[in-house]
Amino acid sequence: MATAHKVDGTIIIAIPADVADRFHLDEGVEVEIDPTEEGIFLRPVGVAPWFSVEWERALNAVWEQYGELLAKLDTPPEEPPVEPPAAEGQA
Amino acid sequence: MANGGFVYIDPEQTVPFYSALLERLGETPDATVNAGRLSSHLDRCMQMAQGERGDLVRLFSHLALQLMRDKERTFSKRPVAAATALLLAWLYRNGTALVLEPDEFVGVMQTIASGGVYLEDVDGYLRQYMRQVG
Repeated sequence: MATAHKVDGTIIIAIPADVADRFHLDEGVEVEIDPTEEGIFLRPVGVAPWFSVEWERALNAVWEQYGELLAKLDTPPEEPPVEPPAAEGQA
Repeated sequence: MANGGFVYIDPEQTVPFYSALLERLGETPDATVNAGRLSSHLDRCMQMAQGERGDLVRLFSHLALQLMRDKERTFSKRPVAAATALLLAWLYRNGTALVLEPDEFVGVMQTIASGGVYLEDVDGYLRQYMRQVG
């Protein structure tokens, strides 16, 4: 939740830092303002793609189910240690 | 194949997805996604699945063979984990989960990635572990 303030006849809304970070919103970024029936949509323009909430929810579900195991997938399976050949004269 | 609620993998969203995954895996972010190669895989797999009138699991199987065996060509770091997580998340977005026992999961995914199995094996085996979610 953010609170609107009036400054010099303009309405200013402070967007929380975590929300701004997520959408790559920083000083100087242009924002498209789209008034609709549901409310006012703000869309940063010319920034890198932000992580969609739906895809993040899906990643959370996968991580919850298999997180630690995903970390093992790029590690070759452990092979049993090879016994070095006994040197001549040894038992 | 596609119905009203079908969601496909979006190459643009794959970039932040991959970054978030690497962060959770404790990796440094110096990794890249080859978006052109990924798009090409996605298109080819969709065409093959549609040509077979395949369902979601069939498309998953095609994607698994393409992406999980691609070594570092699509995902420059942790390629098998990245492909697996992306495909499982995509399944989830389509209301489906692959439910494997933890001790089976790693072996099955590494076997697919190593190239030791065919499409029909992947489809037939994984199909029995698909569950609806949500």
